[in-house]
Amino acid sequence: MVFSEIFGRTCDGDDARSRIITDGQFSCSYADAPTALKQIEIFLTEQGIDRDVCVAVECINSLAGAFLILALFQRGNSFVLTPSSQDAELKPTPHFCRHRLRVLPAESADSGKFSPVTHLRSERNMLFNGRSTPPSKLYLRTSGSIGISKLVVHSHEKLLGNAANCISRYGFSAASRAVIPVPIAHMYGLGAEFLPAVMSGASIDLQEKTNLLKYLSREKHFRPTIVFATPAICEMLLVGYKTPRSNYHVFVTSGQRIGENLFRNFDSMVSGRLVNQYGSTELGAAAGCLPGDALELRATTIGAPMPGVQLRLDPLPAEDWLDGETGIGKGELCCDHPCGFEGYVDEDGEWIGKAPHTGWYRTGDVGMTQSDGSIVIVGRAAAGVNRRGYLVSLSDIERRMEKLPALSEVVVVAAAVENKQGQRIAAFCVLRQGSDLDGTQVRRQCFDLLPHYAVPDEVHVVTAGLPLLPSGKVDRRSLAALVDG
Amino acid sequence: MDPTIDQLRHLIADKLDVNIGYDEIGADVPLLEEGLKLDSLAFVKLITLIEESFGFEFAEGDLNVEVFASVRRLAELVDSRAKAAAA
Repeated sequence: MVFSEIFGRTCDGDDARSRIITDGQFSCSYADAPTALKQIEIFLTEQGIDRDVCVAVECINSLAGAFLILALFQRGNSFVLTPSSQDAELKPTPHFCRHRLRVLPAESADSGKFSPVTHLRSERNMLFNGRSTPPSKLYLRTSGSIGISKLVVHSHEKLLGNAANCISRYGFSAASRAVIPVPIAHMYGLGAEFLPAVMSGASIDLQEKTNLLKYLSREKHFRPTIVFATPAICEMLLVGYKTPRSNYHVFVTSGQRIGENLFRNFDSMVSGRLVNQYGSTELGAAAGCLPGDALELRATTIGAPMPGVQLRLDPLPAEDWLDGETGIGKGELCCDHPCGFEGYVDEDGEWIGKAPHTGWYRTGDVGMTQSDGSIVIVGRAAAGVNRRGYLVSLSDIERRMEKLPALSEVVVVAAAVENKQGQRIAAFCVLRQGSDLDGTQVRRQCFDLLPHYAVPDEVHVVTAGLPLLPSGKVDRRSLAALVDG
Repeated sequence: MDPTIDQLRHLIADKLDVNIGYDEIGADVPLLEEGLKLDSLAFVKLITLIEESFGFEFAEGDLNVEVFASVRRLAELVDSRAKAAAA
């Protein structure tokens, strides 16, 4: 489905006047939304931002920010989306973006008719590298372990597919009233709540940097039926809610890191409507419980996979087993998602590692299956090693090294033993046809790709191919055994 | 100096881990935006600390911007709630 068709439908209808999007200061009905979007389109064109230009957007949870995102979807512009950089660490605009668009907070004195353009600023990116990017992509930041952030690439089309899953799972409709206290510039706020709400024509209350007083006051006036929150927000409301709430059809919290006690206590304050959602910037929404599920399931498991999504647990290497474990029933959670990401790019717009990403994605979470088949997350996979005080992920190093033109495949493993410097790491490489480098030469190239602490101590070129397990996967254990501890 | 105001100033300066000194907390300075700018986490901790220290629970109607517009206003409410709870 095309965004403009879906959005056009929600802005039609007799009730389009009564369904509104608000940020507490300004409001706009769905009936008036097309006009606001048109104003933004004119502004973008005036700034020289055609459909084929990629822009970097610094966004807040405001009406102007929301409409800017929708306008970019409508036009098919590719864009990088980050929360406003006001108090966050200042990151330079990605070099493949020709313009930088900022959404400014409204002055508290602002009143009168809402004009989205007065809250937008556009600048040309002085460091634009001239690269042309494909249309209709969304780029979201995620932190890599080697200190170099990477950008997750999604197609607009698949994002809408991801949103459609959330609509069906959580029952968004035009009658829904969605409060959004999490950033719409992150995958969770954008993909799991904002887009589904807009596509359904639901009323929306955007809250920027909410606090207890703001939330309680807005809740009284807006009377929400759906919210996507975090464990921190649940803790906050547990202090502020003196009586249970019965207005929520569903109260979603992200991540499995919500403690079971907090879950149970807060669940009773929202009349049993609390559910966990499992997802990530790469996957979007992958799995989630329903309010109708038993409390036990909702409090501990990740829930049923979203439509079309497959989950499986891959066996962990034996060195990750705890004492007494057999490794059965426990493994790294992997996900095959029809609407997941395409890959990672760096600040220049170059793919990091193999792209496009297809098939199974390793989440880095360790899961355990229950007797009924449901999955509980028990921790993170031990893919992090200590390197002179820095925590480094081996798969991040692999992804970087895969960029080397001479290599067709690389596996990075760590010695089991830790010494004063951390753990020794070694890379085993298969050369591309026609390449003729030795390990020392490849290692030298790594210094241009990686921070010093992430450069492998040994690099071996493997001519006979990497050792494989019966499953066809690389036998990392036997490689690790070759590394001098 | 009203003892409740004083006690609240100490709670914020000593127990909240927000790096605001006792002297910076004027009796009429707002606690949230515009004033001390306590973040969401610190604010929630303050509620809990007050309830524990003064031995009462805030009613839902108490949790609004007017009450927290200044330490002085907050102290007024705390005084009346604590007195009622002790009775």
